[in-house]
Amino acid sequence: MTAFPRYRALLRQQLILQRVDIALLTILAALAAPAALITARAFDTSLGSAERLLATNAMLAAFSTLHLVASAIFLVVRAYSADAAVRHTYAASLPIERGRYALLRAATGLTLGLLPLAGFAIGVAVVTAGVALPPALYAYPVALVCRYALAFVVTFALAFALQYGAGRRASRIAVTMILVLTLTVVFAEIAEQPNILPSIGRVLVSPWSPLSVFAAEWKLFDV
Amino acid sequence: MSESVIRLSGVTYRAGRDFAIQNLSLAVPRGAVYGFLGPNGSGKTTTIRLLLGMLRADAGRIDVLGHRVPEEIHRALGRIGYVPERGHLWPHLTIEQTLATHAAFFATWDATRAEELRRRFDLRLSQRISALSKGENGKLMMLLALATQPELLVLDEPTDGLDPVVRRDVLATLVEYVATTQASVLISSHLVHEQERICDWVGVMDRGALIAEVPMQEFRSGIKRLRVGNVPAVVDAAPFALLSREMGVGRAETWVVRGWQATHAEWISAQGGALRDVESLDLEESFVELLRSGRPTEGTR
Amino acid sequence: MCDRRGILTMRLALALVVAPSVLTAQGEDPLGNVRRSTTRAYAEWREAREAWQADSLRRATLRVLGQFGGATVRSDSTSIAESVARDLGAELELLRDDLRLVLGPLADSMLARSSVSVLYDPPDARWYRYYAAGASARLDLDGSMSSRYFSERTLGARGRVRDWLDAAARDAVLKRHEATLRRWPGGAPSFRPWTDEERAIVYRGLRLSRSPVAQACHDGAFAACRVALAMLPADADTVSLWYDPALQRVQIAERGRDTIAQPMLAPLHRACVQRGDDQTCRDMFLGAGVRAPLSQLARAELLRLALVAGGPQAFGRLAALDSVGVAEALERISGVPADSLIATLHAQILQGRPTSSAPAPDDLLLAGAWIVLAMLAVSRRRIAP
Repeated sequence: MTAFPRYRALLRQQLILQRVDIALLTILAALAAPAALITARAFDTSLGSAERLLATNAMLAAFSTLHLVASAIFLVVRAYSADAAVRHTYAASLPIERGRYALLRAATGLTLGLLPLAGFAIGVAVVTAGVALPPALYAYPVALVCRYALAFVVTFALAFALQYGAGRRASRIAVTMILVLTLTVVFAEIAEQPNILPSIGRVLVSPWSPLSVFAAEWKLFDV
Repeated sequence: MSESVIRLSGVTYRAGRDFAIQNLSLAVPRGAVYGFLGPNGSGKTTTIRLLLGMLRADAGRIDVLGHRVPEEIHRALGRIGYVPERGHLWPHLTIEQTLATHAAFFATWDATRAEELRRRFDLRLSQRISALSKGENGKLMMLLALATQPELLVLDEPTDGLDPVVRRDVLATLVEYVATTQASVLISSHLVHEQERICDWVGVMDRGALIAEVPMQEFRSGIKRLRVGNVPAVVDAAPFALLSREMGVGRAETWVVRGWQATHAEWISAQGGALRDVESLDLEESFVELLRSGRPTEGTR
Repeated sequence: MCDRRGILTMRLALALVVAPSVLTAQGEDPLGNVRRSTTRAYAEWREAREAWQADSLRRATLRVLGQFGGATVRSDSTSIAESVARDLGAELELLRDDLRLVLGPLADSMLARSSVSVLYDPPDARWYRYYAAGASARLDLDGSMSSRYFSERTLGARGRVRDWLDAAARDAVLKRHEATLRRWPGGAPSFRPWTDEERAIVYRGLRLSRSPVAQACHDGAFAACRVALAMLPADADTVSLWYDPALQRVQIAERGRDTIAQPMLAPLHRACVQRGDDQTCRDMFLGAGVRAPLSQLARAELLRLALVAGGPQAFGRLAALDSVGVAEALERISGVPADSLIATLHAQILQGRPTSSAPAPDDLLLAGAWIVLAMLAVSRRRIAP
């Protein structure tokens, strides 16, 4: 059988499972840019409009990176959990190689991720169209949406590899890592010892790292 | 022996400290309805999951429909109808969506047959899987298995927990399918009387090992209860398998034997014993005696 | 001595002091910066001197690690103190090269009169908090003293060491050559080329400036750049050249929300915006802070470019200048036309143009490789029920 009917079937299954989640993620994505704009305008009112718009970039970077990471992880974990809830028995009984099944799952997850991406793009477009830009300041909505899309795909792929590679252990691995990092940071703060978190952060976003996409500037407005 | 649709050779599997499949070898002939009997926890479901590639054996070889398991099982699964022990369908889908998903993966899906079975089982398309009763779920799983027109059906306790009416419907549909298509069936159950009606081969599993694998007729007729007087002192050389002995009055005993033939009465006489009665056991009694014979009695090693 | 040359120099110095003093917005007052940094440096010098005197016995026992860039470096014999001292020494070597470019032979004599001491600070354990060990670095840079504490947590932050040395060097140069550098609106020159971040800051400031002069300078009109850099006669009305009265009024009008926060400004606001009182607009404009089209960073860099172009004797020529215009002063220091220096500065500023945030082809390739790797890893894994 060709892959397309199977892909469509799994896509439909995942969409039915996650339609509420995806709707919520899409709405939040659409609100990211307007929320950043509103938040930035709440800053120091003596700033000129150009500075306020530049301040939007930092807020938007925070909102959008948090959102896309949450979306990617959510899409992966929910789909996996649906199979895990029935012990993967149905998936294992289908006449398809396990690896191909996993790749189909990745494809469906990425496809569904297009919806929050579209929401983000709409939010950015609305803000860009609605803002009166001062001279010499430009909007770069396409560049920002492209960066969001790339970051989403990379994060999704990594989360997917962890979840489907480690199986049930994935959540334990992730929780353990977060716990160890948190305890290390807390201990370092209390004892004024060297904090390893900045070093880890530098490694994670170093030029060869898959997360280097997060190291660049996330900006909607610039000169 | 005709070609086997399922063959396990020397399969070993360990799950945790307390449970293991040990050196298991069995073969399901093509066209047979193979009843896989055993008490709860004997390893039937584990064996089924091994032969479907859901678990990986530690040793041994498994072949299903000519394909090596687990390397090539995906090639065989398109010709297998599988009904697991517990519900395995995505609960958030409706029956209609489940049928559509299943059809997308199975090239041999027969939509007409599926609709016919759906009507027969009285299943509504709009019902959500999570809302199905145990009986409805059982019927749906059988529908999904049969609508793909499989060469091999692997059924793990398909009627467990179903009420008699539903059980009858499900089994009748199964029997009808087998009769018309000559499909092979591996059906596991601890409901012995049910197996007796439909199976022509039986494999008995206990504590991870296959303790018997014979045609049903032989199994049913081969185990007898004997009443023997003047019990011979030595019975080691008996031409039949002595499964159990119970003391009676004086020197009389009740024996349960396997592989009994009428000519074996002469041997008892030759040993000085007196055969008083030969009683046929039904499948359930045979099954119980077989299991008891394989287990050490309390207080003995 | 009241000779003619001295009087002219004094007048020029006074004019140069007064003119930039109107530029009071947000750190754009170069002489204010000079005064503030001088005061700060002096306070640090006093503190360091007192500490040094208290530790005189200890200083006598410090190990000499060597001469770095001409400055003697001493430290306690503990690993953290030696580590800080070696970092400082390495940065002093780099600073020496930059100082030589800008100050010429003065750099070596400055460093020869300098020393660094790094003292070990033991950890301080209290019942609620534990202070890690650290090291106090005390820098005597040609009589200008400052100190900095480095804990184990901040070791390895070489950029911060260099920032501290740079600031200390500027203070030292200002103190030593105060009379010379007071002529220059940018204060002390910078001693190292711009970082990418500084370049981007200057570029953004130029592009976002409301002054028409800024846009013209960006577009390559060097005459406009001169105005943006305040390279003007002493009696020039710099503020009006940057922002004409109409533009001042527009900006005051846009700041209308501030009058809500400060009701006493409301009458002035009305006078400016509604009645068109230019003088009130100018007063409000100056009061709220005037942003120069090109920041102090740019002016400091321009002076550095001139000194570097002028070779080792350039700073000496700066010190020997009598009362001349800023542009002519730059030409005499550097030996090249002022517009050439401005062109170099302009090219550097344009390099600060931010790059697009769209993923580059390299980013896509790298991400693609990682994605393929992740999917390969997954495709080979059995999903065991």
